[in-house]
Amino acid sequence: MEVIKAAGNTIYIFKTKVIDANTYCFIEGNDALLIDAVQSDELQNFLLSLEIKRIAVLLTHGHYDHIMSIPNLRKQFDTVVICAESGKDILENPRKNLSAVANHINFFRKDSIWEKEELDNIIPFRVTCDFTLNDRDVYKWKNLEFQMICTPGHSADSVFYLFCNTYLFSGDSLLKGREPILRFPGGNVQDYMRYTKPIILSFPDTVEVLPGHGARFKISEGTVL
Amino acid sequence: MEKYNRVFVETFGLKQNFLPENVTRNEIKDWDSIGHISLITKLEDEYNILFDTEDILKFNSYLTGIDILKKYGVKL
Repeated sequence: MEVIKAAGNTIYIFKTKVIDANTYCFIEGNDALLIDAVQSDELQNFLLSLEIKRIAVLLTHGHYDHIMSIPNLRKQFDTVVICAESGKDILENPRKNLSAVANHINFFRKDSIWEKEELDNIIPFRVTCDFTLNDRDVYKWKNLEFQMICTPGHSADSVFYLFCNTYLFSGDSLLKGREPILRFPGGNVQDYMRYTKPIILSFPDTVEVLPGHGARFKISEGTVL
Repeated sequence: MEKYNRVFVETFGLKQNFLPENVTRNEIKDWDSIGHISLITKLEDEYNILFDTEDILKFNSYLTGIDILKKYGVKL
């Protein structure tokens, strides 16, 4: 677990041991806010140790590696899952959330997007969403505000969450050193070029990106097509 | 066969005239892990079928794909 400060708030970062996927966690009292919910025993144990009762999960998109811990979280905590309107169908469909084909992706990996590592055997699963947000909606949690910005391209339901006008939770739409992957089912190059790329380029240099994979970086360091 | 060819061309961004029958996975640049999953899911949507895992793993060429689709009753 890594701990950082953002606008006076503590963010706990949990990573998967493979593919370096991130969950960002805010804590207040017995409540937690997660941005994505990657597979992490450490995250689960951390939440239990703090006697967390309620969890809100904001999803950057519905691919399996960002939602894998939701079924377990729901068993142990009062959990609310929030995603873009276009994400409901993706979460509920193992083919679309890619959990049904995750093992095949690994089997066939000849590309070097990530280093080839052993993944756990992933059993296809579905996740339900409790409510949805629309483009530019602001999600309020305690006294914090997160603006959702739709960024289609990597998937139809990909979004950014902008926090304090300075911190951008980018999911897989903006990474450092890796071009966004637009070839997954539901990916769309035209949408990325038309909608997402101009949004990325519109942010000032002061914005710091907290990506779905890898370490945080300044927005000017992000890889844009 | 037109639908099958279209899925290949669209998935891998091929030029229409580059789709030799004997083409294999190793000869198409974008037929990597992501391309493969994209191909499989597009064919499943197109023909309203669900491939078995064994067939997903066997599907390594244009011609193999035709044989596999026939198993599912797809008329090409």
